[in-house]
Amino acid sequence: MEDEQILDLYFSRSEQAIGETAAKYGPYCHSIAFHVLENQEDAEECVSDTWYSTWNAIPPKRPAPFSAFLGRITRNLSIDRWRRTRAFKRGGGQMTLALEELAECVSGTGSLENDIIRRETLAAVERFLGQLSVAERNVFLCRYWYLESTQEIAEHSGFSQTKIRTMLHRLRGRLDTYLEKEGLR
Amino acid sequence: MTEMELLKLLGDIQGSYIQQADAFREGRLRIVKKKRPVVTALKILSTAAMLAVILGAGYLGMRDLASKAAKETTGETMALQAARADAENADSNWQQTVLRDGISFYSPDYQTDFTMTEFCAQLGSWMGIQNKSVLPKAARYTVLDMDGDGQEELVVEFEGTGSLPRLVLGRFDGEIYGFIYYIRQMNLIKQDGVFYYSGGIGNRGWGRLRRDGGEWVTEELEGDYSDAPDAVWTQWVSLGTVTESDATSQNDNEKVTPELLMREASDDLAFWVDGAEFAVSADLFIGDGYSLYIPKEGWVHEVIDYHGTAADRWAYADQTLEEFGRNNMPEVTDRETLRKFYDSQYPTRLTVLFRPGMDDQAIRDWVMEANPNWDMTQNARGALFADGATVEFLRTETGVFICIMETPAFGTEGLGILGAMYGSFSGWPRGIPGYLTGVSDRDAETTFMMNRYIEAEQRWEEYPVDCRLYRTYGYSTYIPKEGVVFRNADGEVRYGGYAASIWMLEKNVNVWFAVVKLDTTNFSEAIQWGLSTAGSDYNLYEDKSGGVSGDSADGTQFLSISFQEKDFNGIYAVIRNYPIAETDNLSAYVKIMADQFQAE
Repeated sequence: MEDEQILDLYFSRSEQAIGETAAKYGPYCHSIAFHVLENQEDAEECVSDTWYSTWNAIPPKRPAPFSAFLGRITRNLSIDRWRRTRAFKRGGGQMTLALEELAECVSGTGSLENDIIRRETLAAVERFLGQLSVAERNVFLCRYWYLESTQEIAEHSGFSQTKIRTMLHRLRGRLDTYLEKEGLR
Repeated sequence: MTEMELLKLLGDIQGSYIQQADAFREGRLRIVKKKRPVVTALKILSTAAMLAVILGAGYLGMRDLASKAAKETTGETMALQAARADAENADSNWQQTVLRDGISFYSPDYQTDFTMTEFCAQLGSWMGIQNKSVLPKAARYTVLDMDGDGQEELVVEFEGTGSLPRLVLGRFDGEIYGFIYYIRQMNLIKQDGVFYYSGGIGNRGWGRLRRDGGEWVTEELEGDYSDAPDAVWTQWVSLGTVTESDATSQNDNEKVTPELLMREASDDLAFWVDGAEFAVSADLFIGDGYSLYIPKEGWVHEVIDYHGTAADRWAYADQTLEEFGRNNMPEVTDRETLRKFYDSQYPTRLTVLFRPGMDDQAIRDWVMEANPNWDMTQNARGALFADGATVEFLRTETGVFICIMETPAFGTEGLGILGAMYGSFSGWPRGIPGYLTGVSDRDAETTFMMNRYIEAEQRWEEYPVDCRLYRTYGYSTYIPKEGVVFRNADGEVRYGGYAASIWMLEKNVNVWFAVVKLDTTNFSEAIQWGLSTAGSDYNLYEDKSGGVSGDSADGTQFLSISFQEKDFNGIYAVIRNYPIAETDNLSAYVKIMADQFQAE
């Protein structure tokens, strides 16, 4: 079913909307959740929560692209769950690794509570991403949006793992410089 | 901003980026791989030509040349391109081709053709040298217009035993001729080809070559050229020399075959430059406890002492000094200075070493300590990054290897071929013991308490000597961290006819410790070797340890040689020497090194 048709189902408050969304985007959302949580059960719960959140958000929203909307919700929910549960777990997985890597680009002091600063920072990050080549941007987002391992990215891209690692290292350095220059680090 | 804030913030980026990245991870969006036609052709038609293109990048960097080549459009056939590349390379760069044995030259002195290696053998034969390991070899060269005809000649200096001549090579009617010039005939070569000659009393001065038919004659010049800039010499890739003992040790690894490791003996290494994929034929190198693929050409292997640990290193041969010296440091002619400067500026090399006995963080700290000039950052996986260098730590079934990749092209294009070489690294399975990795670990660092006599105070003092483990093919020992100078076993230091590894004390060079691997497995022969090597300079006798020791004939020095066998493959001679006057003092240093020696 096309996204527009699924969204129409939401707007008509048909519960079939959730079934169609799950059928079409279930694996996608599960993949996102699993990369964050690295736990099958937790990931499934997060995906269920995604359908619930989507049901509550549409209408009034009519998101486009729909997949990105779903992905974003799943990711946010997964990250929140990860933060809640990590205190009871050992080891970090890709989430911990990604955070450690991103620590290279930030000051470490919380600053995004202010919505204006948050929006400014988001705009700066988008400008930064816009400056990257398609390959660089995709690799960066696979790592820090989808939280994939470098091995997985290497398999998608055909690049060697070393190239991926090097590319990410350089990109983090560039982001760090960019945010520093913008006074948003 | 915190890292978590950034991670969450990324969640809100525009949907098109997320979609695009999703397509990418699903394989629906592939990175366009620009293929360079000539590379494809060369893969089929001429591996040599392909490597010439890559190697030809030289100090300009692989990236620039490869990028340029990738942009070439072509209306001619790939075969023609390949053939032309071969021809152009051979023609424009004949000097290096000669050095690489790619072209023979005619020697009027011997009236026959030689490759450079054959010529070295001929020189060795002429010098009466039988031992192949000490044959003369091309040490450095310069490319100059020696005779003022606008064409560049090649001048080669050799290293080895005795006073070796220079070889000046030039083209005569399209053929390459190589003429021998002895030091007195040609010395103090200047950048414009002028040199100092001495033909006997009253016949000396400055001159230059002049073509006269099919040869050169020396033309005398008026004036003093002493202050003219010296020719810039470039070290030929003699860094690739593997020592006699190293070679023997590495041969021991022949018992481990590619089949045993379940790897192909040869394979292609693929790497990316400027979005284009390149492939280079490579052979499997079986190191001690690991294997990896090394391109068949262009990389020179050496066994080095990496801050006290034996390491395999591959240097990109054509990026050593040859272009660099000519273009970057014309004021420096001293080979070692140039080499050091070059190494610090433009290394393109892969170094692999095994450093046992340290935990993960300690091993990283050690790398950082060993390279204080690198501004390193450590990523989440523990890899270290600095401008121009990446250090990976590879945990294998036998332990952790350190893999150091250094390349000036790192900044923009990643690690290129180095990354491919590193990517092919694989540790031996646990069932296959290596020399370095199959032995019980010794601590990487330790401290020994020693005693020395304080003459002025008439008392003994106990003092600590911090030592680090030195482990190389076949043996290990502890070496004091400070006050000791190491000279590698690259053949330049010899003892009793064998390449020697020697450690000398900075305070007194007569206090030294050396290790020599003998080619005998017979202890009687080893003892005879020890006695004959010391000769009449020392009064040696067989001691309780089964070695020989004694004072020098003049009573000032003490020499001790003990022997340890290694796997029935040879015997190590462990030698220490010190002045008698240092018996109660500095001799402690060499005693540690000798006592801690273990054949492995």
